[in-house]
Amino acid sequence: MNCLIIDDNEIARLTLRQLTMLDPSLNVVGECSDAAIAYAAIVASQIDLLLLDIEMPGMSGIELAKSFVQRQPMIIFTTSKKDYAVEAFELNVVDFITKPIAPARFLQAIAKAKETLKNKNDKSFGPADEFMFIRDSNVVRRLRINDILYLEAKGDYVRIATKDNLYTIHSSLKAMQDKLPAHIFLKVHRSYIINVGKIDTLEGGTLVIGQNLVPVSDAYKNLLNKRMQII
Amino acid sequence: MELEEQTYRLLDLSYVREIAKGDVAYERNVARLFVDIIPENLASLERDMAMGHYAKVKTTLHHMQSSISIMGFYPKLEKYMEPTVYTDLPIALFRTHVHIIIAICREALVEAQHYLHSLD
Repeated sequence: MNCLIIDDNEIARLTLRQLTMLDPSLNVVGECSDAAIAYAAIVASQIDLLLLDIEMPGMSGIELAKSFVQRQPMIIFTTSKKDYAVEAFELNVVDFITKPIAPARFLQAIAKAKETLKNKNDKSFGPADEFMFIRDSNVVRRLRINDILYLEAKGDYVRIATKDNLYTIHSSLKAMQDKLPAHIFLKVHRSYIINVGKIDTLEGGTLVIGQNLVPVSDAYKNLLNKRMQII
Repeated sequence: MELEEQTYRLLDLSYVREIAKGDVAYERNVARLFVDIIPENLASLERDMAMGHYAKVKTTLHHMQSSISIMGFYPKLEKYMEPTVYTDLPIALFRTHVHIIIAICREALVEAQHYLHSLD
């Protein structure tokens, strides 16, 4: 589970990072001391969970949580003050924990996040609906999710590549990213989302998927390396 | 030989040690950050108090809360910190509280420096 730590206090961030080591399934993709900077990172990356402080200079954690229009990552609020609990839970967050955070309480919150993610993935693409319908020219076509190799943004359109075909649909890459299961697909460039399980090779900044070359931009390299779990 | 753990008048390191689970690098990093950052925070407090910028004083105090909690002496400051940060105290009382908080933090800082050296 990819998580991002957002707290303006460096000692608090260090301690949260230490707490994440209690659960090997947590992959800390970064730390931010500022909610506005965090917003940009969240929009650009595939982040499942935010460990989010509330009171920060500039944009608060609550303002950040309210700012997600579409795909909101799961949020665990971490704060020194209990007074925000009601407002925080109204934002449909996973949990609200007060500092200093006891390890057992932290793991309890993470267990809730895992359960939420599992339910979300089950609802998104279960065995019965592991396909999607796309409008390709005048034809509505059923497409198996796992047949998709990658998606490429082309202006107001997205090209979906499978082993044998290339479909063009009227959509944005962001909209497609929101629809596709995050545990299968990963954004590797501002114009490309790939099916991680279809990667053949990675050399330098280029992926080979089937007969296709897909560029990886520097901003996504670390995330890709972590997802590939290169041995 | 098992080393006897140093106890301090203000710092309560049980939380840091619980989180560290034997990871001395984490303990050292926390102590070093505390020793580096708290003097800057105290300097900001003194500067803003002198200039009467009480809103900034509250912001700095709030920012310090996490560091103080992790180093385990928030309970000793709570009765001064909570009303100072979260209510509108009369100025004289506000100033008294802030001066007490600064004095306690200075003493905690000396203990933190000792703790940091003990980890080398």
